[in-house]
Amino acid sequence: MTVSKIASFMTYSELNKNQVIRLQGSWIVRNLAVLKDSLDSFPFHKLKDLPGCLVIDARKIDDIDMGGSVALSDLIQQVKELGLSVKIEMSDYVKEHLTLSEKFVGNLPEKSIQSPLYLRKLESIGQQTIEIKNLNLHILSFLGEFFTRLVQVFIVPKNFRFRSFFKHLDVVGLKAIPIVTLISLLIGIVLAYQGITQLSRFGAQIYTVNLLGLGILREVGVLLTSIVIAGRSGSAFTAEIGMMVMNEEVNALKVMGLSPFYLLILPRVLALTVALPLLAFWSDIIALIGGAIMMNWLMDTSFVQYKNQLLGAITPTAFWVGMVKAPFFGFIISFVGCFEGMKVKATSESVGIHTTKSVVESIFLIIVLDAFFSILFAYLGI
Amino acid sequence: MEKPVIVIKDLVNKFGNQLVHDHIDLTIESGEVLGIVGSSGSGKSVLVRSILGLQAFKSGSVSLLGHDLNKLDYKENKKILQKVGVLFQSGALFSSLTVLENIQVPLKEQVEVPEPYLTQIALQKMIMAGLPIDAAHKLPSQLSGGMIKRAALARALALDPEILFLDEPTSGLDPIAARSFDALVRQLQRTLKLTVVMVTHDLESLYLTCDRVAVLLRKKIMVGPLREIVEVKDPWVQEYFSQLHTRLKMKKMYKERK
Repeated sequence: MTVSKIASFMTYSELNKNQVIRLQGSWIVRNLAVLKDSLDSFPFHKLKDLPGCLVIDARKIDDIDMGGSVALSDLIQQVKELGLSVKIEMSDYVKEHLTLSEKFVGNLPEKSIQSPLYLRKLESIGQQTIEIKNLNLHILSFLGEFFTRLVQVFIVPKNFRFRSFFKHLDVVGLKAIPIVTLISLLIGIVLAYQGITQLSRFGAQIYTVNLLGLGILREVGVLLTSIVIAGRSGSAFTAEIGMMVMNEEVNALKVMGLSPFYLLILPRVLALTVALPLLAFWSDIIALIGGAIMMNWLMDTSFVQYKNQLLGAITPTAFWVGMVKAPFFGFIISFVGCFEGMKVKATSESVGIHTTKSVVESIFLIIVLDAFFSILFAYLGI
Repeated sequence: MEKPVIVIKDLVNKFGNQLVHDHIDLTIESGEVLGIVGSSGSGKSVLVRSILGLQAFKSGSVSLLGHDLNKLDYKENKKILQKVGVLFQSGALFSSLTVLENIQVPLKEQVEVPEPYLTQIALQKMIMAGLPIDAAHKLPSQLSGGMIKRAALARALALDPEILFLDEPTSGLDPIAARSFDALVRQLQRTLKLTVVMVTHDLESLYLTCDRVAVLLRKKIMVGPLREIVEVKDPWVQEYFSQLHTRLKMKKMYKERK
């Protein structure tokens, strides 16, 4: 009699011309990785050579569950495929589990038949084209409904949710002041430092004030604020509305005959359109103060001197050129935020996708629009 | 007699000023089906969440399979939780994964089951829970309420747990689906020797599946076999269980109408 130990779960031996595979240990789902290794290393091909009956003795199995039974069926299946006469001995407990496990067997349906690569590429181009068309239509209809509702609100002001508007004004405006302040102050300091180091080569360091004044008022203040707000509030709009779509809250509104535009979108968009110019104004002032601090520190420019230089450098036009862009940027951020929010599907993944899209798209559009404004002002000679 | 699987002693749960559980004790034996009932807001879900370690309680002790989850480190905690399956009320399927992938999550992440067993077992559980096989590649958002429940049950059963928690398993199912769900739970419980803890409002479900019933009433708990609980002289308990008699009576009335 020869005994060879295959693994702790299976022992192979020959007894009176019979081959015996003795199973032991815990055949449970937690041990499946090890069980699979034992099965894989078992020399099934060697069984064929010997005459006599093959016995699978499963009486020594301590513990078995449905998951573990899958490995046992696998073993029995593999042995049966060899075409030997097999005898299986097992306790009722094991048999019960094996029967239960084998009762529920199925084959995974094919996902779908793969077509050739060039066809798939072609299909994806076509699909994307149609998607772009649909997206454009979608945006257009969203924009259309938005402005229709806006006009309706002007005609019947009681449809406008003032409470919601002021709540959002508080959240996106007032509560954004700390972060806008901090970032504007730092950018003011950074810009002033760069101005001083470069312009002092010509002894023209006082013109740093001109640089700061024009740069901040025309471009930096409003762009900086918009980008911070796109990250802070645009994303929040998408996530909020997206969760409401997922939770069927938007559908609940619709079946009450209420338009999500009145309740969700108009207050948000108008709140941000109002809040952004205010924040941009605040950002302008703080950034200029940051510059003044740096000038005072590095160049000993007094604050009075800074003020006089600043007033000589800037005109009201410079201020208004920056400020006129702010409501447009605010509108873009909130509109994109709400639009992407309404497009959220029923998965948590899509909230992430659309929130990302909302921020990226609104920053992209802000910069495009800013370039457009620059061209416009150049054309108008401002 | 085996050791009890869940022992709750002197549990107190309190949210702000609102007392939910006032020093309650509960012992759940191995292999029994315990139904937890109580009015809305009586703290059924809070009780289950306390057992599962999802909720920090004010005082008392909860031991699950002989361990206090709050005192274990990550690794030991994981080991205990491998022996527990939970069916959440709304299914709690991972919305970005297909049904098959959902069932494979515990198999893959908790015990590293290799292919092809991974797919085989996931399919086995799917069929066992009564899902059609072509649902395998569907996302949860494409399923009906009943199918979500079944998929969630399949996921809860993936690791052949010793204890199965069911939070309102039959809510939102039609009566036929609900009864077949009960039969399934009962069958699984018998063959797999599961311990089942079930929060339910479905009285027929209670009658068909539960060995014992725990009633959460006025911050306290009452436990006993169903036939004893129905006899308890308490207006709420009487009213609660009379609903079933009414329903049976209605059935009879409807039959006699013709």
